[in-house]
Formats: sequence, C-alpha cells, structure tokens
Amino acid sequence: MKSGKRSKAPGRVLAIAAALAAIGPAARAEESNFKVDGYLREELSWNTLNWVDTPGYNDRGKLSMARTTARVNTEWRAMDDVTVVGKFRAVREFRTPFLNHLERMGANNYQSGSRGDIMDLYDNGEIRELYVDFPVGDRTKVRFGKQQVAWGETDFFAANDLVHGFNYTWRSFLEPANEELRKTNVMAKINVDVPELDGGLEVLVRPGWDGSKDIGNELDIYGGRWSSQPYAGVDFRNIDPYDYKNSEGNYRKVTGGLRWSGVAGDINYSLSYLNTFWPNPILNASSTLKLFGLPGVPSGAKTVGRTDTKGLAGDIIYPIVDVFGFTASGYSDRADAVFSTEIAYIKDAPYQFLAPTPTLISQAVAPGFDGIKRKDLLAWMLRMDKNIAATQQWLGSEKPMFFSVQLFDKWIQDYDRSDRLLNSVGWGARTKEHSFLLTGIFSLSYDNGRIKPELVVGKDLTYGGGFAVPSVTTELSKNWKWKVEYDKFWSDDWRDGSKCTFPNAASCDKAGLFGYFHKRDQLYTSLTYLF
Amino acid sequence: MTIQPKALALSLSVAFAGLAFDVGAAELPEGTVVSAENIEQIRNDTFEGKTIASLLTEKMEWRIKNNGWKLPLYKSKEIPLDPSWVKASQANAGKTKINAETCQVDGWGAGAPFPNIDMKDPQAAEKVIWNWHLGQLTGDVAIVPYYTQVLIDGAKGVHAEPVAEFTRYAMKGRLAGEAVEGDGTERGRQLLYFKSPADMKGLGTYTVQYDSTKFNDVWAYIPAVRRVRRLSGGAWMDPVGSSDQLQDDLEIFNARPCWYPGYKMVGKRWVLAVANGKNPLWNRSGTSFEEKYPVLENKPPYWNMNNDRFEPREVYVIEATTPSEHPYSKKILYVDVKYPRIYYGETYNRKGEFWKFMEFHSYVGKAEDGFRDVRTTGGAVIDFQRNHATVSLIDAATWRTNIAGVSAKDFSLQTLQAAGR
Repeated sequence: MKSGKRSKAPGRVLAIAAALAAIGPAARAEESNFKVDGYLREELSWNTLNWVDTPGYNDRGKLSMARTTARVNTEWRAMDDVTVVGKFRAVREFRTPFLNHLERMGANNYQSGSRGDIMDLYDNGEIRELYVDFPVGDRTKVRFGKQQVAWGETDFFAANDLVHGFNYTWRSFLEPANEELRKTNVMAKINVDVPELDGGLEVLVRPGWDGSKDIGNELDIYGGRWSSQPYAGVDFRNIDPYDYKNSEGNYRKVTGGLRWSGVAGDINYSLSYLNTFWPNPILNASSTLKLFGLPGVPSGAKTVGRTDTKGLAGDIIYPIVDVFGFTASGYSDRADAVFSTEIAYIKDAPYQFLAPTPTLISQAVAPGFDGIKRKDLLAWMLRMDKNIAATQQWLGSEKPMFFSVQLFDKWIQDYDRSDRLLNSVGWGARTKEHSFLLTGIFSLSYDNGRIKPELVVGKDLTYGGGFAVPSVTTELSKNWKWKVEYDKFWSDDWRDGSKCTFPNAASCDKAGLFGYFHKRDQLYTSLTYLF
Repeated sequence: MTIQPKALALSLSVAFAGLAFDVGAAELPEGTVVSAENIEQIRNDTFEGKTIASLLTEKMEWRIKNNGWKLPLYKSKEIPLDPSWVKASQANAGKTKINAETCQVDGWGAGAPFPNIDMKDPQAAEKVIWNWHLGQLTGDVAIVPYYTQVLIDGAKGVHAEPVAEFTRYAMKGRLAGEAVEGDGTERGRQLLYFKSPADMKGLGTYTVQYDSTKFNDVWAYIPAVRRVRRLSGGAWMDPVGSSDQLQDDLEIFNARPCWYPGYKMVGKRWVLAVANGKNPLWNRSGTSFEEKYPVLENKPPYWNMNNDRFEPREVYVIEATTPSEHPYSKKILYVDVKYPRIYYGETYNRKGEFWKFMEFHSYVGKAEDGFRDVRTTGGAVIDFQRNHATVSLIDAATWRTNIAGVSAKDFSLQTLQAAGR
C-alpha cells in the first residue's frame, strides 16, 4: 500500500479479530486475566449533491462509502501491576461505482501509471495500540509502546492536541471519536503523581521508531472521496510527494514533551511544552521549474531542508515546532456551567504564502508553491458546557440537554498583511490576523438513552461558511446501535477548477475551510454490534 | 352503676368481633411469600407479632397487588454495629448541632452525628438525614470492583447491562486513625469506571464531595476523545447517564442535606425490608437471565427483586421537601431507626403524582481490618410513569472495605487520568 506502512493484510487482521472475539465470552466466563471486547461496524454514506469537480458524472445519490470495520481490544494482566493492552482494527470496503469513477479519474495513482487502486486508501489492518503499563515505585506509572495521548481541552480544532497526527482520508472532519482518527505512535509515557501539589507530571518521549506515515495529519490529497473540492480524482503526490526525511521534520527524530496538570482551588489546569510535528501538511516548493522540464531554472521559491525537492513541484513536509500550552477548566455556580480555556503558543509555525508575483508553479497548479514563512501563533479556545434543564419541558427530553459552545481562534503574532500568508496550499484565502470559528453542540436523550438526537453546528466567522450535522443514534438492543446522520456544508466562496487554469491558478479563488467541502454534503448511517 | 342494654350489646359485639379476629389471624411461618395471590388472605395474619398489613406501606401493597412484587418472609436479625462506630457515635451525643449557615454539623468527628433521636425534636427528621449522610457504616474506604446497572423496560426486559467499578474514600469521619484526612474541606472522594460494554469501557468519573454547601467537583474521562472533562457540579438533581435515578437518588438519598429546604418527621412504623439479604444477587459468569440475576424474575416487569430475605424493620418515615427546580415535588424516605440505612423511597412529580419507587437491599459484611460494614447488594429505582427501571446489582464477593496501605493519594484526578485506556 503506497499510502503508508500500515499492514496490507486486513484479511489476516480480520481473522485474528474474529478469533479474539470468539474467545471473548469464554475469557469473561472464566474470570481470566485476559479480556477481549470490541465491535463490528458497517458504515454507509451517500453523496446528496452533484460534485463540481467530477464533470460529466452525476455524484448525487451515489454510495461513497460501504465500510466494514472489526475492532478488537485486548487486555492481559500479566502480573499484579503489569498489564499489556492491544487494540486492533481491520477494515474492508466495498468498491462502489462512485469510488471506481474517482479511480478512473486518477485517484491514488501515484507511482501506478494512469490508474491506481483506490481501495488501497481504505482497506487496511493495523495495530492501533499495543503497550505495556507498569508502575515504578509508589507514584510513577509507565506506559510504553504504541499508544495515543490527547493533550489540551478541545476535541474539535486542535490547539494543544498535537502529540499525534490524524488520518482524515477515510472520513474527514465529521468523525466524532478522535480515538479512531489519531495516528498512534510508539512512545514512552511516564506519569509521576505529586499529591503534595495536587497534581502530576507527564513526560512523553517518542523515540522516532514509527513508520514514516505515522506522523502529521493525512488529508485526502489522493483524489479519493474526501479529496477537497476541486481536486477529486487528483493524486497530488505525482507532483508533490511526502518528504518524511526533510531536516525540518524528519520522522526519525526524537520528539516529546512535558505536561504538569493539577488542581488549584476550584480550577483544574495544565501547563505543557511539546516538541512535535506541525500537523498540517506544508508544501515545500521546488526551487526549480523542473515541473516544466526546466530543472536548471530557478522557480523563485526557496526549498527548505534540502537542496531541491524530490517532487516535480514540491514535497509535503511536517516541520517540527515547539508548542507551549496552557489549559484551565472550572465550574461556575453563578452560570451553572463549566468554562474551559486552552492556549497554545506555537513558536515559528510554518505558513504557505502567495508571493506578489507567484511562481510559475503556483500560477499553473494552485496558490502555495511560493515557499514557507514562519510566524509565532497563539491558538486559543474558550468553551462553555451547560446542561439546559428546560428541554425536559420544551422537548420532552429525559434529562437536561447538553449544550456546548466553543470559540476557537488562531492569532498570528506580529501579523503583517504584506506577508500574504495562505490558510493552506491549494486555495486562495489569505490568512488574517485572527481566524475565528464558532461551534455548538446540542445533545438530547430519550427513552433511557435508547434514542439520542444530536446537532453539531459550526460557523467560520472569518472566512465564511459553516456546517450542520444533525444525527440520531438509536440503541436497537444492548449490543446493536444504529446511527443516521446528515452532513451539511456551506461556504461563501469555493474554487472553480474550470477558471483556475494557467496562469490564473494562484489568483482565481478566496476559498476558506468550508470551500474545501463545497457540494460534499452526505447522508451517513452506521450499524454497530458491540461484543 | 347501671348497665344500659344497648351499651352492653355494643361491648359484647366488639369483644366478639375481636375474638373472631384473633381466631382467624395466624402467625405466618418463615419462608411464607407475600404476593398478589395471597395478600388478601394473609393481610391480618402476623409475622413476629405484627400484621402483614402493618408491615406494608401503601405503595408496597400496591406493587405486590399490581406489579408482581413478592416478599419472602424471614426472621429479623439484629444488625451488629461495629464498636468503633458505636463509640464514635456516642461521643457525639449532646455535642453536635446542625449549622444551617455553613451546611455542616458542628462538633461532629465520626460516626452518626446524632446518636439519639427525640421524636419531639423539631429537627428530628433532619438529624436522621444527617446521620445517613455523615454516619453510614461504610468504612473508611470501600472498593466495589464489579457492579452492574441493569436497565429494564417493563414490557420488553433488559436492554442494557453495563458493568462498572466503584470506589468510595472517606476524607472525614474516618474511624481508623485520624478522623480527618487532608485540609478538612472534603467529605469524601469517589471513583467510577465502566468496564463494559465496549463503547463505555474506560468511561470514568472522579468526584470530590465537600463538607460544606459547595457542590461536588466532578470530572469525567471520556475514552473516545482520550480526555478528562470537567462536569457541571450543579447537576446533582439530573439523571445519572441513561438510568432512572437522579444523582441524588444514589442509594435513595445522595444530596447534601442542606440542599433540600426541609424535612418532616411523619412518624415511626414497621416495614418489611432487606437488611440481612442474600449475596451476591448477581452472578457475573451466568449466561441466561436466571443464572445472571437470581434475585429477579424473568417475566414482566422483570425488575422485582423477589428472591431475597424480607424481615420486619422499624423505620422513621421522613418526607423530604425538594427545591423548586427539582423534578420531584417530594421524596418519602424509610430509614432504619437502629442505624443509618434507607430501605425505600417514594418520589412524586410536580403535579403530586406518584412517580418512582426505590428499594435497596443490604447485608452486613466484614472489612479487611475486621470492621463490620453495611453493604448494598442491590437496588431498584422504578419509574412507574415510564414503565422502566434501573436495577443496580453488586458482586458482593469481590467487595473490599478498609484495604491496608491505601490512602487519599490513590484516589485523585491523576488516578482518573492515568487509568484511562
């Protein structure tokens, strides 16, 4: 599988999963030190709009995903204080006519000639986690092995949750459980309790033993079903492959951090330092015009971390950054609500920029092939969680509605408009000093938790657009759960590929985040069997 | 003295009626099961000298007649009260006082703060509730590695049976060693982790209860996002998860006494209740309903804990008045007069209609240091308006109290975070 070092043997993992699942009840019955649980899940999604970037093909109503997942969790208490935990996931997808069409267009065809195998993006089997827990002395606990760690307070837009990258290729943005999206890493996590100070220290060391694909956020730049508009069927690795060994962000480098978390009065708080890979893919543009067959001609862009790029137009890199974090959370009697905040100060965060005279690569491909600038960035979040008791009367819910509102901002320090920073390579929206996002969650419960409606909404206050995701999860029985969800996106601007040809590719749009999801609305359903 | 013929006739008829009553009533043998089938026939019969009718509250009798509840009769047994608890409780006599302003009991150290309840005392009911809140015979630390919360649809049966571990650690009122641990602001700490099903496994909460008006501090570890989130401390009158019980319904009454505006002592009476019950009421390795839940009946409404030992217990009947924003208008509590234990609770909605019936069973266990603690074996919170119940059943065999070498530092927010998997 080209897209990573995950196992190419989902069948084998599925077989192991099935075998482990089969011994689960027996393990429980015998009260053994070996426990097994997990789930089987079928997920289906349909496009509800006709995509703009698949000309001549009506995407509306097409099945975009038919995904079968087996997840098995094991826990083996090897000794009194020593536990070995394993989490395994195997996935098989059905090749739908829609996926077939994307494949014909060129999805996932990097190093495969004109046509690749799109299913390689989705079928996989992996050891999600495999670690051992053991104590050292009275107050120190060690977890060593492949694992995932979440720092920070917010689940939506990561500020301090930067220990791992996320894999957004099979489902972007909408998956509620980050647990399923985080790329897990081999790490040592050491927790030292300091009850005298009402807190504890966490030390993370990632020795750099992971596979190259296990760092950074993985977006669908392969032209698959979660490719951003207007890049359906385009595998960008053909002109800008990954460079995991760039000296700005070499996956073999040791990374890690420290976090102190504790309680002071009524407030729980944390302070952290993290040395990690910048999660967003950064385009390291080629310093030459080899894309046009002119390897000796400078492009005008400066390549970082190596003399010139491996790719014709550039490479995707994940530079290493330093992140200084702070979080706090407390309950307010007066508001009867929990307030949380999170601040991450990122030193030298990498940004793409659009030069006043863009390189020929940018003019031919998209904005963002002009080089990289570094800016200090303050990402902060303020959130209020409140239970709204009135819904018991208004909507007949069995308990107060859970309501959460969150304001998220990325504040660029020493902002200079003439830096002409871009939000992302590929789209034209220029980054403003503040980038505000407002989100809200409304969760209800009926029939003793057997029916759970939820609405998640968001609005991009700076660049326009937003999303609304209403869903209902129904508990069919104690083992079966069924979810139906609609994913609605809107945007003020979007990139029209037909108008973005040479020499206008760098200046033809101002699309922000929700422009990437233009016409990507979908209906989603999942059926889960828990064991 | 002249005897009027009419009065004589009346006296004779009363005497005769009494004779007839005595002749018809019988002392029922141990093991007799009070049920809908026989309740009319045996209501005037006696058990330990008390009529069956007098041992049943109105709602108990209603449940027996209309809802399949069956009560096997067993001889009452004295509850052995641990000497350390008795000594600490007696030491409070005449020295303690409810401080309404601070929401504390001044002068309390450990044990029941008010060992002698005077029925004529206008604060009698409130003192009984404080005894329950501060003086339960639970030991200094109790770890319950396995309990299940069975969610039951009265028509369809069990639809969820999550399993959790529960730990309760006393920071004040400790009976072994110093009575207070920490700075004296905390009443206790609780940790709760779910062990199954797979989508709840790892979900946990850490709660700090205060010895003051202050609401609890509550944090939850949410495995799906691998993160601890602060929860609303003001949620004490909200439902617990998807269950039928509110936060303050845990073991029938779980609020700080001052959060309720008032309590009324209705009186004393006798009821049939489970104080020396069977255990365990839940067999974790069982596969069928009957194997797993030997105390329950596998037929509608599925929630009746019929197969336990019901014995006559003398109780205080207390009416608790709820705050105006509370879902209940009132809560009636039946509290043992000998030691702090609530057997039954009835709740009424804001229209004054009967809503929920709560029933808790217990037995006397032995802690690792020899302390005699009172352990819940099972509890049912039945929502009669929605025909649904939450039955909590405990694997009493694995319950551990007063474990050596355990201290407050083992139960903290760090513990919750570190335990997340």
